[in-house]
Amino acid sequence: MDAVGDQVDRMTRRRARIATAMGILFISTQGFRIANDQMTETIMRRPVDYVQFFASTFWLLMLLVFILFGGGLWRSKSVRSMFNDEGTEENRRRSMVAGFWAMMAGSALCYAITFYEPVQAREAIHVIITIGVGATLLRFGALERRALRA
Amino acid sequence: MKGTTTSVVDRLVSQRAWISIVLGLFVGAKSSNAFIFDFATGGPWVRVSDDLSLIAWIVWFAIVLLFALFGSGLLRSAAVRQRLNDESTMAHWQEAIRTGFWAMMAGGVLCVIASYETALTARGAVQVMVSLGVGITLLRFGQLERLALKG
Repeated sequence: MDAVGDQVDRMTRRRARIATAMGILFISTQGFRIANDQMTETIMRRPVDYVQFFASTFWLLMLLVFILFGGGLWRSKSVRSMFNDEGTEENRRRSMVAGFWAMMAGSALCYAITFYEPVQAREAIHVIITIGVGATLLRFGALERRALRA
Repeated sequence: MKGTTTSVVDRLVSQRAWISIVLGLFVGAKSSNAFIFDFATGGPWVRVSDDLSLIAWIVWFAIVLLFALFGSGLLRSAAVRQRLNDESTMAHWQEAIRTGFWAMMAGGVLCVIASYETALTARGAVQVMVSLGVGITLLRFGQLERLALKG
C-alpha cells in the first residue's frame, strides 16, 4: 500500500474509534447534565450556566459537522476522496437512518413522560437531539469498524 | 402475466409517490401552522385540549403507518411486493430519512429559538419536531420516486 493509502487507513481507523467514543461521551455527559438540571432546576442563573450552554452547543455543532462531512476537511483532495469513499457514504446514510429512528423513539418517550411529570420544551429538545446525535455516531462507528474488519 | 404485473407495479409506484407528497405536505403543514399562528397572535402554543391533541396525533400516526405498510404492498403478491420495493426504492427511503434527520435537527433549533419568544410546551416541541421530520421525509421520498418514474 502506498503512503496515501496508509494514511487514509490510519485515519479511517481513528475516525471509527472517535465516532464511537464521542457517541458514548456525548450521551453520558448530556444525560448527566439533563438529570442534574432536573434535580437542581437550573435555568441559567449563574455565568457558568451560560458557559456550559455555549460549550454544549459548540460541541453539538462540531459533532453535526463530523456527521455531515466525516472529517478530513483540511486534507488534500485525493486523501479526502479516499477517506470519504462510497462505502463511508453508505455507512453515513445508514447511521443517519438509525439516528432518525432513535430521535422518533426519543420523541415518543418525551411525549409519554409529559403525562406523568412536567417537562420543559428545551429539556425535551435536548433529550431528543442528544439521543439522535449519539445514536448516529455510535452506529457510524460500528459500521465503519465492521467495514474495516471485513 | 408479466405485463400485468408491470402495469400494476407502475400504477402503485405512481400512486405511492403522490400519496407520499400529499401526506408530507399535510404532516409538515401541521407544524408550520402552529408556528405561524402562534407568532402572529402571541397566544399559547396548544389551544386544543390535551385529549383532542392526543387523538389527532394517534390518527396521524395511524395514517402514516398505514401508508408505510400498504405503500410497501403488504396485501400484494410476493412478486409485486418485490418489484415495488426494489433497490432504488430502498435507496430513496434511506435518502429521504437522511433528509428527515436534518429536518428534525433544524426543527429542534427552531423550537429552542421559539421557546424564548413564546410559551412553548414540551409536547408542542415534540409535535413540531416529529411533524417536520416525518413530513420532510415523506415529501423527499415522493419527490425522489417521481423523479425516478420520469427518468
